[in-house]
Amino acid sequence: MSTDIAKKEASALPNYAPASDIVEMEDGFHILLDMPGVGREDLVIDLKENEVTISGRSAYAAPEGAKLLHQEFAAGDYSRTFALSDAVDREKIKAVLKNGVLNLYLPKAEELKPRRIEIVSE
Amino acid sequence: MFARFLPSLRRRPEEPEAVRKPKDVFELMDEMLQAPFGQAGALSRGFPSMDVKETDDDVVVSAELPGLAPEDVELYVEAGRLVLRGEKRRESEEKDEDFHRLERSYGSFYRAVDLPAPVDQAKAKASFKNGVLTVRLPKDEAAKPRKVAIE
Repeated sequence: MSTDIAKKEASALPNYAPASDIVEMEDGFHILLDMPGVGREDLVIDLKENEVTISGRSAYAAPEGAKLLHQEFAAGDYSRTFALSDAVDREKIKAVLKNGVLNLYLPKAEELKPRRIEIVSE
Repeated sequence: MFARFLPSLRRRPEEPEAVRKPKDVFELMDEMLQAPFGQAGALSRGFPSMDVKETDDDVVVSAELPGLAPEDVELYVEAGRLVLRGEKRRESEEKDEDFHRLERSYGSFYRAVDLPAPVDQAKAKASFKNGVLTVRLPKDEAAKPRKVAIE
């Protein structure tokens, strides 16, 4: 706990919770997160017992001697935590980062998919 | 059928405001936390977010466009302004979808920024990396700072 606080103080960058869509499909959940400026090497996905935390950092190299005329975004830290339901198969979680969007695929566990129960007559 | 619940950047005329009802109290609270003064945030500032920088030789404009590919964006210089337009589409359109949360926005966008100096449009270069578009526009020779010799 105390190390978490220390980490936050050490970083002078602003923190953002990335905008997210959560879509459920038959085979699992997709969490889509907008994380513009974050490269693969700056992205960390932590899976704990029943939550998944996504954190990333965007950094921009300013051109030499540049004068900032107008600013609406800058380097920052992204972080967001989602609770995982027991329906998710933790072993098969996949993450794809493309064009600044992280697609986190959380497949449903086999045993939770609908299945028919055989009736045995005696 | 969920299309009408999608937050769109430019709502189409056939979708009146009243159609988009919040699903429950939690969604209402989420909306309020994101935009405490009505439609503030992304819309008032415009989409996409943009930075404009200037060096001695170039004007550098960057924009946050997560989820867009180079072919989705159109760029041109018009009357001293850089115009950016395009459309952000949903990644997938499947029937068996159930939305638990929708915070990212979709739709068409148009944004123009004033350029601080005349630029040579023919030499402009644009690159896309990790959802961030960077456009480097070299200044017109006449607009570059020049030392004046004192006689």
